[in-house]
Amino acid sequence: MTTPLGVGLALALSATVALETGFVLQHAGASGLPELSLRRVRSSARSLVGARRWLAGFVIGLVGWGLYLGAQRLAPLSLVQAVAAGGIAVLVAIVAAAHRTRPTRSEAVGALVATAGLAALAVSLRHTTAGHLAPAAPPVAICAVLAALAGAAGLAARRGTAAAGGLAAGLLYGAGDISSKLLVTARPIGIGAVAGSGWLYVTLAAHAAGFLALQRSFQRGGAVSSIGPMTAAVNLVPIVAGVALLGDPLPRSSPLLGLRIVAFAATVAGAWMLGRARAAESAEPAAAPPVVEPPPRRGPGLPGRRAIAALLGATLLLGLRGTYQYAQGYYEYRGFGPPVDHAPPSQQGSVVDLIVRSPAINRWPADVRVYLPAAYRYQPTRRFPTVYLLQGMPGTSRTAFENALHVVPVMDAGIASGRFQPMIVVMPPGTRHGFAGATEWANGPRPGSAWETYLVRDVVAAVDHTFRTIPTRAARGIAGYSAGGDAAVNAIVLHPDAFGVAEGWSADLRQSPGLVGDVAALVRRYSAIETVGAAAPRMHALGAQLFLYIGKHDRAAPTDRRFVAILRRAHVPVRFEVLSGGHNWRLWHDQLNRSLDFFSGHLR
Amino acid sequence: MIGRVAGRVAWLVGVVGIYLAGWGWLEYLRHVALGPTVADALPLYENARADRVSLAAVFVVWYVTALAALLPWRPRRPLVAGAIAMVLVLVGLGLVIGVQLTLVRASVLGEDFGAAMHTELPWIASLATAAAAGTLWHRRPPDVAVVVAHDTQERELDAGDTAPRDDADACETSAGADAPIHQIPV
Repeated sequence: MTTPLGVGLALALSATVALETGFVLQHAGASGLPELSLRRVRSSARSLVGARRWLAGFVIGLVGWGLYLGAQRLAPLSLVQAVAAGGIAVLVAIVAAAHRTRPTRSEAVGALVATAGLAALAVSLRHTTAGHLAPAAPPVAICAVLAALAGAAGLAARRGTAAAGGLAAGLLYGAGDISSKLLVTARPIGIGAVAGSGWLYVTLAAHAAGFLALQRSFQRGGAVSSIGPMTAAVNLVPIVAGVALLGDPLPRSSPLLGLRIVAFAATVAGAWMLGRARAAESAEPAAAPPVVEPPPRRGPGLPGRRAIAALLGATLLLGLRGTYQYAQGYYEYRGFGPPVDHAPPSQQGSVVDLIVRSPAINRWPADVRVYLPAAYRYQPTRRFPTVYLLQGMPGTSRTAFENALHVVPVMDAGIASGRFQPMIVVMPPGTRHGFAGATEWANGPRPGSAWETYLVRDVVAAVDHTFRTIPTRAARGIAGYSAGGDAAVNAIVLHPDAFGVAEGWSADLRQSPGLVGDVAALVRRYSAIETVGAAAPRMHALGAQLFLYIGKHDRAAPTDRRFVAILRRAHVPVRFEVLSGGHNWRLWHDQLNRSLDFFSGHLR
Repeated sequence: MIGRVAGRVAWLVGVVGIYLAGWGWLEYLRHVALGPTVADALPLYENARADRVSLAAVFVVWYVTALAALLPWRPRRPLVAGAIAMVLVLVGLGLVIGVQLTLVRASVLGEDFGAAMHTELPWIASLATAAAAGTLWHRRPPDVAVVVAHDTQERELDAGDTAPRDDADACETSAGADAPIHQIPV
């Protein structure tokens, strides 16, 4: 257990003593007052403040709340709440010792259960840390849970009984505890940040509503009926939310996890028993005023049904939004999530757009993404080798390389650690709209579809003209995944004087006839397996370097093997690996560092 | 007739929407670290090896989803209806997971449907459907014959009697002859 966690739990224990004392005093003060109502805020507030015992309880409760917020800042919510729940046993012992009285049988049982829960909790705290500050669940899910709690509290309050009112108060206080945890763990923490945080207002609203519900339930049925459900809800809600929503750390070993669950259950049960026992005791002498319990309603009326329907509708809409987020996460990031750059800002590169209007593709404005290493900023006369990355189909170069493969943070980290030499990375688009008009980087039969010419002639020229590249074949590499891999290999086979190093990531080196208009000459030209025999001697003479890898379940693997054999017979250096996996993003993502290693080692 | 068909189509669309929303709630709860986890619960994260979701979260999501989907359904034979719902959910989710696996693995749907049926999620969802059906229908009252007696002075029926099916003027029944009779004077 770490020091902040220990301090946090000690604060939670102190908070419990203050809060429970406050509750008892508030109950004693409020039970003799006229019915409180939100419609008569002034007179209700005046009557409460006029009752000294209630006022003292309120002030002590506020102090307790402050301690509780401190505990929340330092320790996970579920632990704070469990300690708070079990801490009532300590309060019983203190009161009994101070008054030299023996606790009642119910109090003794409740205190014993709660103490056992605290002991189990203490044992289960081995290796537990204060956890992380950021909640695990997204804000939308937390908001949905808070709305659901508020809705459930509203429905409970409508039943009009003291027990339901206590339950409503407990749910609202629980919701307030969740939002206050989010409030105090927000960064930066400060008066301005707290005042500007929406969680402050959610917390205040939840506690105010819970407070009113509790005071009304005291008046309707006495403390016995209301405190039990209130205590159970106010403890259970934050514990469950802490674990399920806020990512509170749980023990990894099964015995400790079991012990933690037992501890949660025992502390909550002990608090519930103690709450009822103490409320019963305090209610005994207070015979007046007479309390008339209104008959419980059979069920929610029309507004209740409407509320349920609205809640279900909101749940459905939120769920559909989550589904959209799930699908969008795949579309944008292929499931890998947004890239995060861990390199220090001074060593982070930048990405710029270069618009290339190539006549080969009817001057369509191609948005070429260009990564410039940090050294490009600091060394204004230095020239850099260049790597061209070609996308597969469908998709865009931005989605593929920046979002899915995280090229930018991988480059930054590799250069910062000295693994890679600083290189410019060029990511040109290879199609205008998805599959429509895509030729997989081949010069297609239709006018304006000369993607090979656009790449090898115009993009290379524009990049060399715009940026400080080393404009030689030995310092120019090309790679791609899937159809981009085919194109990269075709580029070095057909233009060995333009590129010195090439990589094919899951390349299929036999062209699909449909993509080049079923023209036999084009199918042959863009099938590297067909052209490599004639090109290999020249590639050898120019010192071309190749690296190909493919998943063992990829149907193109046999073609790649034959291609590599042809190159090796011509003494062209080629590294070839068949890796576990198929034709997918996981393979390309996992191999990116090794692919860039190859460029870094061979470009000069 | 058109109204009935439109109603069924609307219900079907609603059920599809509810099950789609179920995936969304799994997405929200995918970081919940509670107990054992289920592989390929969110197959689109398989590339990033982040497809596992807590078993508790999976069960709760598909249980609540099934509750919402089955809520308007009042089947005459709950056992048969529950079994049909279980199979539909099993095959339907297997298919949806298969499609997602095909997308992620860039492979063939036929193979991935088989792979999907070997994952745990469709089976858990199917069990959750059974649990939801049990929750909704275990308290379903036995078929009740509601007898609308036009003249209670002339026709005295005791509970346990059967409705006289041949006397349409006197009585209207809504269930089988074996059901207990509740008499409503009008």
